[in-house]
Amino acid sequence: MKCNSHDPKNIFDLQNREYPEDNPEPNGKMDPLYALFERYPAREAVQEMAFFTDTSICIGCKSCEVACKQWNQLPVQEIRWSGNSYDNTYNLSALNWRHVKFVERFPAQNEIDKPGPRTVLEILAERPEGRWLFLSDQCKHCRQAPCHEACPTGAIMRNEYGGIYYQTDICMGCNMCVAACPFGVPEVSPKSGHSMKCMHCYDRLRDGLTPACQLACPTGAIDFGPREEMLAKARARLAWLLDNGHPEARLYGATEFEAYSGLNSFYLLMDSPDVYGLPNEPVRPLVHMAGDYLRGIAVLVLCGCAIAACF
Amino acid sequence: MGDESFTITIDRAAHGEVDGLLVFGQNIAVTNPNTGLSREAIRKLEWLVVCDLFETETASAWYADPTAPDSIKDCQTEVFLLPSATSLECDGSVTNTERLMQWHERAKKSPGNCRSAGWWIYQLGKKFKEFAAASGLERDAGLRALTWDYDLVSQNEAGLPPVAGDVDMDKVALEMNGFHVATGKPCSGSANLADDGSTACGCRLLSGFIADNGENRMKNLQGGVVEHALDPRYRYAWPMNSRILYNRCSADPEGRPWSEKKKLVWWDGIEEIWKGFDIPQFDRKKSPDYRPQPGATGDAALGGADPFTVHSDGKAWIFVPYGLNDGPFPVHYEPVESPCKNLLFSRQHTPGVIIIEDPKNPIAPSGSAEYPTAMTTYHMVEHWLSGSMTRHIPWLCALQPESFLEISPEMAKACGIAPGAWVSVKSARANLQMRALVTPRLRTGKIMDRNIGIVGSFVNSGYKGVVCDPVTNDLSPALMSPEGLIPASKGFAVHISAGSAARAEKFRCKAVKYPEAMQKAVPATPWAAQPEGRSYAREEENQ
Repeated sequence: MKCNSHDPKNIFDLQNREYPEDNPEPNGKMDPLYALFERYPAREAVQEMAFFTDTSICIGCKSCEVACKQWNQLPVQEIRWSGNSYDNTYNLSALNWRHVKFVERFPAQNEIDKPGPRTVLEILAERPEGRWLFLSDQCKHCRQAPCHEACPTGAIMRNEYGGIYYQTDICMGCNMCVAACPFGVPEVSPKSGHSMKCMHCYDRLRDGLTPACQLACPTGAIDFGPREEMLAKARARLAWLLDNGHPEARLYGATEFEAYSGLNSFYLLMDSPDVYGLPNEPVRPLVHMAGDYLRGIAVLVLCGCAIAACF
Repeated sequence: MGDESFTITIDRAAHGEVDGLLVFGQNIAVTNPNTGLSREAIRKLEWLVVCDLFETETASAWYADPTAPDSIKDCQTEVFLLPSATSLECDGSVTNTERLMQWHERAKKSPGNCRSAGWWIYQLGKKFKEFAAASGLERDAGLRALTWDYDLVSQNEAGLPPVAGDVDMDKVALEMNGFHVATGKPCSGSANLADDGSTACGCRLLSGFIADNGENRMKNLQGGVVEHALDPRYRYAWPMNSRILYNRCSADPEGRPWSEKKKLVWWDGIEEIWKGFDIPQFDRKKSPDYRPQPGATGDAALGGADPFTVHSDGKAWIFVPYGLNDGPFPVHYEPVESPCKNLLFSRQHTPGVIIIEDPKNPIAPSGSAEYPTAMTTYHMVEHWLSGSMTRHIPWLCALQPESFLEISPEMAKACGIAPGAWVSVKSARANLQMRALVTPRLRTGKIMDRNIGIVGSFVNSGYKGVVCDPVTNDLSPALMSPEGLIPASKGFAVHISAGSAARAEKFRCKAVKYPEAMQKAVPATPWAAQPEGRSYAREEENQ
């Protein structure tokens, strides 16, 4: 029985928080040009589901990594000690669909000569000198996903639960999704030649279950459910943290970024995203590709002229 | 008979005074204090029986220990490895530190010759009884009189075929709970037990988990009380199914809750009974006003406002007035090998500390310049206990593949150790090579003008598994607190210096190689339940 520590009754006044109105974009929105090449029409949405990962209660136990490996029967990529805190998984990859990051935020040197607190009030006011941050990284299941737009074969699709799913039997291993993803999520498997990443436990969702990682998480840090519900929980938790001595808490991906859509796997972080190795402001690659389109059309026209000139 | 505690017995074995050991599910070659001495002791035995899931370091100390090739040459120990079933493959119970007792049913057939620990013990007991019956010796009278009839007759609920000779754990459970000898009916708690032979009970603390109608409450699964986090209907917590000990304290002396939000039990004056979300540890009808008569015994000797029912006066104790050799108050003493002087008392360490006197167990004197750094040991989330099971699972080994020593940046700099480099950690007993994890989570402190640091390593490493590493407890000392006999595995002194890759290589062991049969997919098992890698084997079979 998991105890719910996100008790909204404990927040002082939720109504005071001003949040931009959540305008959910139509599920499965894609660049209109790329949409022409979609192999199938988007599946009729059942319900947009989302992950909410609360890193403030993550204990870095890696149950999510093991549960994902077990459900999806992914073999070990390599057994090699990294020396980088307790993280020996290194990166998300074709065989690592969940990766727990360990970020040690401690002063580099012990301040041996620092005077200790002299009064009880000073002791109470003393903040802990450092923190060990954990983040369970996975595919962000972006609401407008660059990998989805970049895939030339149509192997990448959005399923009816709002997650990004790779049909690996169609994938030809061109690596476009790898280039497009700003979070470094997919990898083309050297063994099978297909691109692989978190599959949203699609088979479990179809049978009315929740993803394996969410079930395994012992603290409830990984939560999964309808997006609206997850957003409400995330905002309630953020409000509680801000009111209880944690001004550094923030949400990541719950709302749109400046140049990127919202995420269907969003996080509550206890420091700025780049501390966790996440881009502070991810950018949708297509935004920068107007020049590529023009060059493409120009070359097409030139080739056309060259061929016409032959006759 | 003398002291038969474990660390003492191991030392006696090291001197050839013990003929044999039966080791069930414990890996003494890795988890003892001063495991170098423990493994020496194992090799001096005439015989050793190990019952475990895998061939542990204990079971293989006779040939596989990389630290003692000479001792292995002279080893004459006859080792019997009894393959054990896992907890999913047999009936039984698990009790945790929450005092929760949970039953588990046999859900799977165990492979090959694996049998439950219960089966092994039952069959061994039968053999002992046979020998005792034949010997006619006076010392075997106890064995001859021993009641040992736990033959399993009932059907397994999952429909699994019965294991010949299996033990009926329900019968064992009834004996642990206690029963009335004349009728065979279960006792409903330690209050029911008598000292005149009319009741028999294996463990009085646990008594009461079998209800009067014979129902084993460890099997209760109808949880889900919505009003409260406590759920007395789920399983059973000793004693008396109280989920929070001394829950009487949640109410004031008159029986009214101190706090509405935190109330657990309260006195209902109208119905004259204690009510609440939890079970009180005394008679529910005992009013808060009750005061005992002189000469009362047992539960009747405690008043209605005395919550601490384990104490003879029902009160909380600030100090322990009897029964212990040390006390009355707990005070601070330094560990025996501490680099620091005890500033609070003239006495450096615990009076009466038991130090195993053995040339293989040298103890560094306090404040020794040779061993100036404090070391502690701990566990990793990814491995379980000695790692004898988890170091055979590639998924877990990939998460935490290698033994390492955590040291502070100041110490790394002072000793010239780069992050990830080999570090030599030397105690009075052993010298191990490990990788250095340089981390600011560890601190160097200035204590009386000396910089004293703490280093740490985890104890779940050994020489049998997919990953193999030196045994950390080779460093720890075999010495114990005088009352609890807890060994000092977590506080001792070491010397840190740059390590040697050559020396590390010398003691490195090869990973365990599994037989071909274990690479194949497990038949009639769903995809997601396959052990790691085997579902791929099945795919290749189908192609």
